Amino acid sequence: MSRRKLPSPLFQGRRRFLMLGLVGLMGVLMLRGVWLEVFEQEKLQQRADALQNRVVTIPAYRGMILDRNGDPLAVSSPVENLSCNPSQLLNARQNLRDEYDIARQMGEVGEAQDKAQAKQNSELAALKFVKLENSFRKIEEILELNPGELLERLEQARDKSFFYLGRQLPPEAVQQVMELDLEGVESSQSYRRFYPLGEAAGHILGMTSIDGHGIEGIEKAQQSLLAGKDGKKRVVLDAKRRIIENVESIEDMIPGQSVQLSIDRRIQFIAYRELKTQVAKLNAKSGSLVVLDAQTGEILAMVNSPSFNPNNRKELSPQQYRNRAVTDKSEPGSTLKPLTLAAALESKVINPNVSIDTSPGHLNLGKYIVRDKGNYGIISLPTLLAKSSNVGASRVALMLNPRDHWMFLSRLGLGDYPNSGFPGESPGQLSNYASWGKIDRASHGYGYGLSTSLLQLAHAYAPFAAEGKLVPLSIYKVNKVPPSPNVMSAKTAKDVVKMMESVVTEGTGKRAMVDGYHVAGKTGTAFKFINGKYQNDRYMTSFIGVAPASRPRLVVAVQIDEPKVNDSGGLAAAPVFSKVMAEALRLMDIPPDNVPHLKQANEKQDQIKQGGAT
Amino acid sequence: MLARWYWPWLVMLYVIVITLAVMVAANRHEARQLFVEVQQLERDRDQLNATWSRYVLEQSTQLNQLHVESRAVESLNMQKPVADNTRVIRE
Repeated sequence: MSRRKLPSPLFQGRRRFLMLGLVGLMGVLMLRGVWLEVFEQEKLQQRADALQNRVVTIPAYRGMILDRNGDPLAVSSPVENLSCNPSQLLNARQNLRDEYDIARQMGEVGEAQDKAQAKQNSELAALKFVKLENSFRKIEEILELNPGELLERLEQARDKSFFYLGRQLPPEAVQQVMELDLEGVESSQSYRRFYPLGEAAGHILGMTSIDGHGIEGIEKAQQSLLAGKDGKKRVVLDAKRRIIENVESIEDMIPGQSVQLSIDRRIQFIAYRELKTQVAKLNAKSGSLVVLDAQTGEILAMVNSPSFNPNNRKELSPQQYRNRAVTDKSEPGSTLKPLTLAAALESKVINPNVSIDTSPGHLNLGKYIVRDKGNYGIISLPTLLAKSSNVGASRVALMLNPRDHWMFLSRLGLGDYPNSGFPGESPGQLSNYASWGKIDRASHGYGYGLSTSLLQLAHAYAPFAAEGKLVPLSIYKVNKVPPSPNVMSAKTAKDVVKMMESVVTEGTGKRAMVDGYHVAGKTGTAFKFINGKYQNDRYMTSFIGVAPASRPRLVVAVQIDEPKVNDSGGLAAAPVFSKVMAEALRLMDIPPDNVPHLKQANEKQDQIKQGGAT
Repeated sequence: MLARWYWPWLVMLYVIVITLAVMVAANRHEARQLFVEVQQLERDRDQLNATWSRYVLEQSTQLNQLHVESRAVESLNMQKPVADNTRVIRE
């Protein structure tokens, strides 16, 4: 008596109807499934991916900037940006706050057993609320906002979908907020740049924008090398927008490379300190200083005052971050006289032993009169430099063929970009000799009518310290000295250095002396040409020199703009030169050539040699 | 022939399918765990990087010329030699 054999007599029609209905329903659902799976699949997959997958950039580590000894001048340190969806965060905060209030009330009332669980939950929320508030305070503290300001800003941004709670925050502070596990809060990694030398190297290094692009100085010039390349990866997010899986790496991150400069941070620091002190003491408008290694063309230090601190972007004016030593040109004044003498010696219109007649202390050139401070009479070339005679320099310049004079000055790089690798270089100004009249020829002799940047001028002195070779300038460390043109004979270079020594030993530059070394240099005072006339009270004072004079190696150029205290080059700039040169010579391990025992030692050596011969 | 191997085949395929299913689950689990570990390591690396760069910065602050000079003069009683006290040795 099986059931099959006995068809149920009852409700046969209903059963069939029900069966049909169910099968039909299933069919519809399956068709829908097939529809979604087959025809809509691509579209839906895309939507899901958009929701769950995300491409995240991995910021590249920005390379360090190092000094010549490998000490860091600019270092990137990881920081985090904290961002949120304002309304989500505000809602979450409100919820936590409600819980917090409840928890407090409960705490006050004292509670029955059955609500223990609820109480525990509320307390947890309350704790979170307190933590959140503390984190807010902390972020405000880091960003230097007033207490409560962050919340106000958040409230203002309520209808936006994205808001930076803070950028470049320390990782620990961000970690605290992330641990609260709030909806709509995200963190992303980035780097912040730190400059240990601060304002002492601000002009050289420049700085980066908040997005990490170099916008000044070396940071700008070497942007592509330093920056490296950001990586990209695809990740899967969960409902709370946390990363739960790395799907694939789209682009590998390539970290930035380090850049090594020719700067010595110790010299740089001392140079800045000395210059800043002097500029403040003289109440000057500004000042610049360049230290060169003439043998390799390397810039060992370059500072300007006023400077800026690249660690602190807030208080910056464009006027502060101009690298004056490179971008500003001015008439050099007397510091050009050694170049005039060198030009004359090179083209053989004079020899080193000639005397120049400077009486009666002035020189009439038609409407224009060249004046000295007094009547020096007939003087030798060293005295000409020591007294800084304008008449003498003019006489020598007038002996020169203008073409030779022009050729010599442009060979030294005047009127041309120095190509040191800095953005915004000034080429200075040197007009073509074809347009030179008698007055131009004379005034070029003592440094007027043409202009240079301080870096150019320092570079033009380099051949004196490199046997007449002009080694190309470099701000990057030089491992192999590039082929360099000879711009004057080694003998001329030596002769002019010898003449410049007398400036320091007996002339206007006595304060430039360096203990233990022979120093050669030239003072300069250049009056400013404003409103069609030279101003008596506004001038630039400078000192450029080489040391050690017997075997020159370093060039130091100091320029101080508009000192208010009445001073000429010898008084204002020379002391800075002396201090910086002394430290630079010591730090570069250059043996002294002016110590009392040196002579004896040399004599002894000679005796020994003779002894060996007999 | 087919009839004879039908059941063993079926059983074997079942076993393989189930084994693979378990392996997929296990691998998935392991991948998640490794991912967590990777993230932890990356965090550690970032932390170490941060610490390292802080040390580099601190070192260069400590090596500040002014600081070194004053310490040399004050605590070590050192002084810069003047020309009179300098001997030059030439080889």
